[in-house]
Amino acid sequence: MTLRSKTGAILCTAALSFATTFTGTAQADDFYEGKTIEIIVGFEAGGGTDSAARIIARHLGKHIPGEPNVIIKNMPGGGTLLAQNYIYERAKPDGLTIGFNPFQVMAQVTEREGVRFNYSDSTFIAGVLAPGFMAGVRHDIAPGGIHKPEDIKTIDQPLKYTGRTPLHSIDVLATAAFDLLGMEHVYVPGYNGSADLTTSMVQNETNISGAGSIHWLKHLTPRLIDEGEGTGLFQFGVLQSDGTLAPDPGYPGVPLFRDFYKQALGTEPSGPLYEAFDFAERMQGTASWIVVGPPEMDPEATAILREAYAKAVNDPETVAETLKVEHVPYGHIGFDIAEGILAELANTDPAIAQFWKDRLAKQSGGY
Amino acid sequence: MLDAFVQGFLHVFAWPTPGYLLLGVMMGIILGAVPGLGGVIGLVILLPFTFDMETIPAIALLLGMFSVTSTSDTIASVLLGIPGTAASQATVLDGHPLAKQGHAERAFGAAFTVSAFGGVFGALILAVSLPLVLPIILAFSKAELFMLGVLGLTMVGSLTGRVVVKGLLMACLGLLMACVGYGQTMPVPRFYFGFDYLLDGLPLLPVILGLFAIPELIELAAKNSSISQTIKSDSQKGDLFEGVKDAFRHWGLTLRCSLIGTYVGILPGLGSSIVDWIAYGHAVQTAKDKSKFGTGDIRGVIAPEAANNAVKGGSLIPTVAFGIPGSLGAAILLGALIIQGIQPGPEMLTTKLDVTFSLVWTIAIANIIGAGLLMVWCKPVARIAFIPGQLIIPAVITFVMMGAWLTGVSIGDWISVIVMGFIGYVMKRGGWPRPPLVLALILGSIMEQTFQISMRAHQGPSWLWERPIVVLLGLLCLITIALAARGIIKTKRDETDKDTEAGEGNERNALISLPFSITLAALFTYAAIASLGWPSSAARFPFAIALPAIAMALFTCLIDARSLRSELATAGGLGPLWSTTKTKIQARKSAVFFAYLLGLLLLSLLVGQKIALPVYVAVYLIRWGNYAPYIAIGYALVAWGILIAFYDRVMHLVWYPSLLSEWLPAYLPEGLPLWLIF
Repeated sequence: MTLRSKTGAILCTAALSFATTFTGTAQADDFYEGKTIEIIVGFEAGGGTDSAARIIARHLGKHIPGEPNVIIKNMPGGGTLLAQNYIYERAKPDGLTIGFNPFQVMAQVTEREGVRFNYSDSTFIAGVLAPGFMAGVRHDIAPGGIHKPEDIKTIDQPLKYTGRTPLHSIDVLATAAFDLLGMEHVYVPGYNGSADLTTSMVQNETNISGAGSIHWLKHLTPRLIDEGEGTGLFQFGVLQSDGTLAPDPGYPGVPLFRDFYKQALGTEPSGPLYEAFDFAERMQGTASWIVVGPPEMDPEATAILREAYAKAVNDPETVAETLKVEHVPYGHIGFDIAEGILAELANTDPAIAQFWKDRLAKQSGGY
Repeated sequence: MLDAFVQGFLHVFAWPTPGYLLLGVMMGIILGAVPGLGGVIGLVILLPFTFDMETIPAIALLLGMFSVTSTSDTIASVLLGIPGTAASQATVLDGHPLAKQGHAERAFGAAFTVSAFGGVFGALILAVSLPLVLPIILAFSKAELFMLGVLGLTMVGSLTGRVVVKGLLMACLGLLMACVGYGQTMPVPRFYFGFDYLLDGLPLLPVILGLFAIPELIELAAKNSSISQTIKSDSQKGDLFEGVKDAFRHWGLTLRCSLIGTYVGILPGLGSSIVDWIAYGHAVQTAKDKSKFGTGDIRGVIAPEAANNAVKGGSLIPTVAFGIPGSLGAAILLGALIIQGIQPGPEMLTTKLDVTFSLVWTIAIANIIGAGLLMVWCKPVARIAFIPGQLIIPAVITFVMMGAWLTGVSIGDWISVIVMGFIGYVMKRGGWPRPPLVLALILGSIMEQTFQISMRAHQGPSWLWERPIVVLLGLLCLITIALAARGIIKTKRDETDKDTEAGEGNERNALISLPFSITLAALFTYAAIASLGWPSSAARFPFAIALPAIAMALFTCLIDARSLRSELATAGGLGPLWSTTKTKIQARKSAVFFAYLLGLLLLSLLVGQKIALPVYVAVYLIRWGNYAPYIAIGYALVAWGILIAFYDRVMHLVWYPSLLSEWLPAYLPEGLPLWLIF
């Protein structure tokens, strides 16, 4: 399908119900007692978003007074647009239906066709952070390989970026970063999933790539990096509570993008492209996934769920299960951090929005 | 390696593994037999139970279930003419005619035998080709996969039915339908008419269910008889064994199709939904006497069934060795393996080879057990072919509609089934073959994705002549086309206008076909014009399909107009021709059948599916089947029970939020078990 749903796959929307259902013991007069919370996930069961939603949901119920049932329901389609529109437009604001989906902030900024939801008006419950992104290249793009940042000046091969879709958060950041570095490249979109992306790099069909942690650690590292055919270039870091970015411990020795830039080109990044990049990085750095309810959701439910998500993401059992899948635990982003970002999103500088729209049109253009 | 081969075998036979394997196989048989369910759903249901199990038993349970769904899916394909899963679409073409002739058991005998053989042989092929796997995968970049898609598409030549150009045109329609929604590589939604549902493209399962199931069910309902048109007689005794003998008689075909299955499985991205077509096409191309295909040729059952079991073993290797799942099922299986601590990687072919072999052995043994159990069970199952059709239809409609609902939990899935059901009905009656459409629909998005990537990655079309394997596959395509063309000309000469209307795409009703031709011409013209407004990467594919399709559609308009003229002359005017056509296509009953389906849809919008489906079942049985109310109501209650127990409680489906469910609960006391009705 390439595993995309439309080609052949019989999508499965069933829930791994048994694993996520908790039947609570009775406590008196609680908002959620005896109720069921449905969490809508916009992908079929089994993918990265779905498994993150399920791991956290398994430990959500016990942090909510009244211990309600928590179940995951899958509503795949439109690259989560169906599910996110459903939450925004149709779900009742009673605190029983919420969504767990990728924070597709660039889809909102570029007013992608089909997007009718709006994060700034939705009821924010939590942001969940997966490990940060990074970028890697094949060594044979330069005669002596790429071993230090300055080596990017010796590149003599045409660069081809292994792309997903132009709005994918990794592609948005990584291609802009390559452009900032002056690494002119052809954007080749259409790859689906870590294995597909990796095979293309191994086959030298493409030679530069942005990667999430599973893609990097479990696919690219054994098949490309360990073979001495490629290397990690830079990483985008993880948002700290003081608002700064720190390197992800999962990519040892891979520098942060700004440090890499300074060493490679000898200056600080600046200019309109950098401003647009900085905006996208801050927006997307806020959260990998966002848990939202419909606009004007019941305030009592909102408060309970915000607290419960904070506890559930950091619950030791959640952390233990997360570590089976990722190399570091998920991070929790509370309303205190998200509030400012969502306000900025609501008042996005029209020039920056236009920049990303133009870039999207360019990357979507034909060969 | 031999050591690992034996070690792997011993793993599978250490208790309690065989017990879990058997349990998995039995579940797989049921999931495969019910249309709309299948291995992927089974994996999702079973997965949570395996979290706390030991590795090998857990894998035995999952793989045992997953391996046999493509054996038991034959049951629905043969008996009902509905592909039980996407892997047995081609089995319908000859399997269902056999059931109509009363030979369901023979089809089963042959299918189960070659399924077991395909599964085992596929596993052996894998064992010897392990060293070749990595070079094969690395040699097939997107450019080669594109050409492989083209080669798959040339199989259309074997599936066209009486009028070749109609088959080709249906392939174009399938390719165009694959363009619906966001393109594989560009954020431009195409042909979605403002419906969110279509943004992701047309989902395959509702299309297949609609296209194949609804027309067959209409025919069954209108005939008011059983599936088999002959009465059960002594001549059908020993039919099962006859089928087994058929399998051995055509051992060469079985062998070749198992090979095809295994190697198609190894290549990521193509997978099980097309391998049955490729195998079927191969059977037709290599047969000396092609005249019986489509009307109940046992070779048309043997080929896809041998291939669709072999493919599963093949797809397992790239999954475990490189983390490259060849299908959605393999992707979920990969997740399960990782949870079980099996990290995919090249060491699965070296130090952990015994684990890999235990997976291969599990598939082989599951296939043997599955086929054995089905041989025993299929006799009573085959009797379904002889019971009144009216009793079968409500159950099948329930499973078909719920199977479609499972794909996207959207009312669009139901609309797809009904619309595609109508199109399938028109195609069947108008002599338009359905298989080319389905094959092209599956291949279309793969071909577009690989084509776009290749054009961008190589900055132009040079890859078409610079890559040796692409050129080689291109030559194979030309040879296939030449052979198909020769075969078609020869068949034409041999049986010029033999008056057969049996088989896919052979019915003749110009009154039905001509309007369809005209619609197609208009549709492709619209598609060509609409695509002019898109960026070139989004427009290229639909535009390239639409241009030849317009020419072909105009040509079929001419053919149909000519047939209409001669039919008019024979019948003596439009009035008499319409009345004979009306009888022939069972127009009135078919219209009522669609009205029932629309009623089901509307009722679901109003009161919800949990009420609407049982009501449909009861009303159908009383009004159309003339059954006593107590039978109808009992039947409806069973249907309701399945909806609640399986689809609601086990699958946790999101149901359609009906009007009634929006306002009624506010007037009811709290604490009622509303999930029983909404």
